[in-house]
Amino acid sequence: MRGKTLLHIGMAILFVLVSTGCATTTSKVVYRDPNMDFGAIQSVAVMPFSNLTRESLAAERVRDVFMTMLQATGGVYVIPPGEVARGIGRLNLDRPATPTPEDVTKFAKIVSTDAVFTGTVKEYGEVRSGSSAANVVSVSLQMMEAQTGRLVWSASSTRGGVTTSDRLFGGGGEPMNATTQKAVDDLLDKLFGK
Amino acid sequence: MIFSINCSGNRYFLAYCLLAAVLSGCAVAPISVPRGERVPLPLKIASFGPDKRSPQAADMVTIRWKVIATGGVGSYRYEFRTTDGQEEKSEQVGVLPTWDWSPKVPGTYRVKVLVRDAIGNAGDSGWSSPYTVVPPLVVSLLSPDPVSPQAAGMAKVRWKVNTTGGVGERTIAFRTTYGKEEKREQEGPSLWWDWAQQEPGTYKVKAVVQDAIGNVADSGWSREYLLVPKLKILSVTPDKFPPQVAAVSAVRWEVNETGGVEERVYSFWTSNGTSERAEQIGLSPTWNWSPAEPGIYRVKVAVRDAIGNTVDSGWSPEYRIELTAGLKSLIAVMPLENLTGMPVSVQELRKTLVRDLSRKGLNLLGDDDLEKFKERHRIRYTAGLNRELGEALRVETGTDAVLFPTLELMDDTLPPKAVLVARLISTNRSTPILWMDGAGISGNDAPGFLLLGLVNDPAVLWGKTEGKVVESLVGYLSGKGGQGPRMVEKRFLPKSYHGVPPEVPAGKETLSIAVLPFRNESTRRNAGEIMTLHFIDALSRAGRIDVVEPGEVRQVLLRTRTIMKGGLSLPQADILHTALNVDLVLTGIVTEYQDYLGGWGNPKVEFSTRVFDMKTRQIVWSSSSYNHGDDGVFFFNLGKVNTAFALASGMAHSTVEKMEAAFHKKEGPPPTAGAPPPTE
Repeated sequence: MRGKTLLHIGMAILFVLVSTGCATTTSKVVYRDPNMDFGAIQSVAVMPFSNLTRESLAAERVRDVFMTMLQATGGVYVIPPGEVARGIGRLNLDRPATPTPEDVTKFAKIVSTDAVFTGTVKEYGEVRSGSSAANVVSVSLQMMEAQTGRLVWSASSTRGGVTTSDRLFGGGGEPMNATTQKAVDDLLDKLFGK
Repeated sequence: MIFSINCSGNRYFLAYCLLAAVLSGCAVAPISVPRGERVPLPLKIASFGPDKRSPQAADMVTIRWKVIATGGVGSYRYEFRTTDGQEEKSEQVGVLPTWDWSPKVPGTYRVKVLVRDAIGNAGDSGWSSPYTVVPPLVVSLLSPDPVSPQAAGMAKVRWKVNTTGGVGERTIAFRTTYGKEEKREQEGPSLWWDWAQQEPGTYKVKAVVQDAIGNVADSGWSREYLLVPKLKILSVTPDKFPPQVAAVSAVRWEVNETGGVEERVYSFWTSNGTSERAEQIGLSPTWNWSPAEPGIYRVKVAVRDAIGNTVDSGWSPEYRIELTAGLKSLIAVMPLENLTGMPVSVQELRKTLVRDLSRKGLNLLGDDDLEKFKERHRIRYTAGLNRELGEALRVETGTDAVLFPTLELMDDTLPPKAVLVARLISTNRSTPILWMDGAGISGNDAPGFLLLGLVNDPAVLWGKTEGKVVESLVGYLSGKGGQGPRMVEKRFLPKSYHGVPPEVPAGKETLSIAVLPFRNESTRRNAGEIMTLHFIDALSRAGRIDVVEPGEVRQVLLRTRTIMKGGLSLPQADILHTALNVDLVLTGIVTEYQDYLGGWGNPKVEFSTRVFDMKTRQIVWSSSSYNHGDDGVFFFNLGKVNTAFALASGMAHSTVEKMEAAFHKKEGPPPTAGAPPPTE
């Protein structure tokens, strides 16, 4: 009898461990150029993000949230998106989301910025796991130094997804905006060295 | 021979000789007279001279001439004589070898002394070298400039001395007394002293002059010089708090001042930011101001006392004079702008609106007159008013204000929903927004007990919506309803924001802002225009922000051919700054503006805003907001928002409140009528 009870407990623990295996975790993978003086960066431009999702406006949405939250840190001045668009138009960049180092240096001169951010939205939308569904956002960002165009910082973040509580108790997870904000918040933590 | 006599044996004589020789061996060998008597030395003047060197000042000094005579017989008598080159005068005769000379008359003198001894021998010193006697040192204090009385700390009084005579360079020391104490003020070679006394009182001044050889002359104390307290403006206050209404309100400004000399003249000035005007000059310290034109004014007062001292209060804090419309104002009701994104019979809805407005007794411009005006001016865009059209409408039809109704939502599915926004624009030159309000009602807003409060009839719902807007407008026109800021709910605050105070010209408290159409990236048609209206409403309710009428903004955007691809660029911002003359420009992106259809669902709104400071060409505000209708709702849908309009309105007001707080965080509390403006 006692052995049966232990077996039930063991199975329950195993179930919990298996079911939480799909939940997202915070990625700690960050590249940071050790020779770069990040404190010298006063203004940044955020290029339009690449969109690898099926949501056509995902990249613009994430970019907008990122720009606002980056500005809200008060650490750097974010070049207005209209000014970024003007710079892209002046250079006639075919693929502004993936500029070459030469493009970056030229662009930075036009809009007078110290660094340029590029990004990729890899996931944006609902994911399903069995009968449960939740929103997920996956973004990676790169920062390029304006004078040389070389990559000085890179990080990615994934937030949302189906959690244990979603599996056990149902619910549709958090709204997309909240998930996006969390992902951007995580990236800002990585950028500012937390 | 004698020696031979001694040798011959006269030993007594030899002994006498030896004794005499021994006794007189050390004595000076005088001229021996027969029987041992001395012969007196000849009378001579060993020395003769004054104790003070030439030159000296007449009537200021006593010069002692001293003679030492030798030789002669008996006591001496001395005669001191002077000559000025023309006349020789005996000054003193007597036994005294000194003579104290106090020359009274300036000139060049020579002095000599004659010495006689007891038996009449005479000695003469001969004329001394020339001895100069300069004029006496004299000082007098001239009348001060300006004369008494003056105001302390305001006047610079020049005291001047007139000084002559004396020897060499003069040092003039000015001294003042205020009661008992004497104070040294200025000392030096300068003949004048600029006195800038800060303390009021009754003063006396004198000058003390000293020449190179120490002669001192004193001017004596001047007459009393009165310094009254400094002329100072303590406060300039209006009797009514701003804002006030143009052509209606009378504001009484009163100046409270102290100090100065006698009668004062008060000059009241106004400035509207572009020009300054003298409004009243006279002896009255109060001014009744009846501003005819709306605007942001500043008032200052200059006070001048009887002797010309002037003090200026400096410009007061901004005083807003607003335009208003009354129940008798002629109002033109423009066609209903349809932002629903769906075909709606807006003409029918307008008719009901006009009918309700007429029932309330409003003075409306006839439809025929309005149509003729639109034809005459080829007006196609009827959702805004620019300055030229406003002026034309006022001149040609006598219209005081124009009502722009906007239909944001008209959903007939159960439960129906209707959203109406309206704004009243003055036809005055600056086309200010006089009033703006909106109503968004869903049929299930208040279902009540057993759903008895559910509204299923779209016409009834429209009547309620439109009635709410009309009530608000009539309330404003009758002076009952205020346009104060709405209550901000915490749940609608922006999720992230950052703001810094913009750079505005010194002293400017009210910021002007143009709201550009938001970029619409949502699935809802016209969401960009709708969000613009929400922000215009929220900003126009904010205390210290002036919003440019969107019709004027549209006109400028069209005229300058501004296409904001990807947002506002800096060159475009410069163009807008020049054309609209605004301090700030607000732009934004709407990514979600979603109403729900039917009885179940949740409205969603998401947008971000950015504000450009046109002076620094930088972003001074950025925010990101998103909300669902059931945010903060926990039990029985209490507090649930059923329309995107209500949701967006709350979010816009929350954003504007945070924005205003960020823009004015450097400053103190808002200006009040009772608070005295800075003086001097």
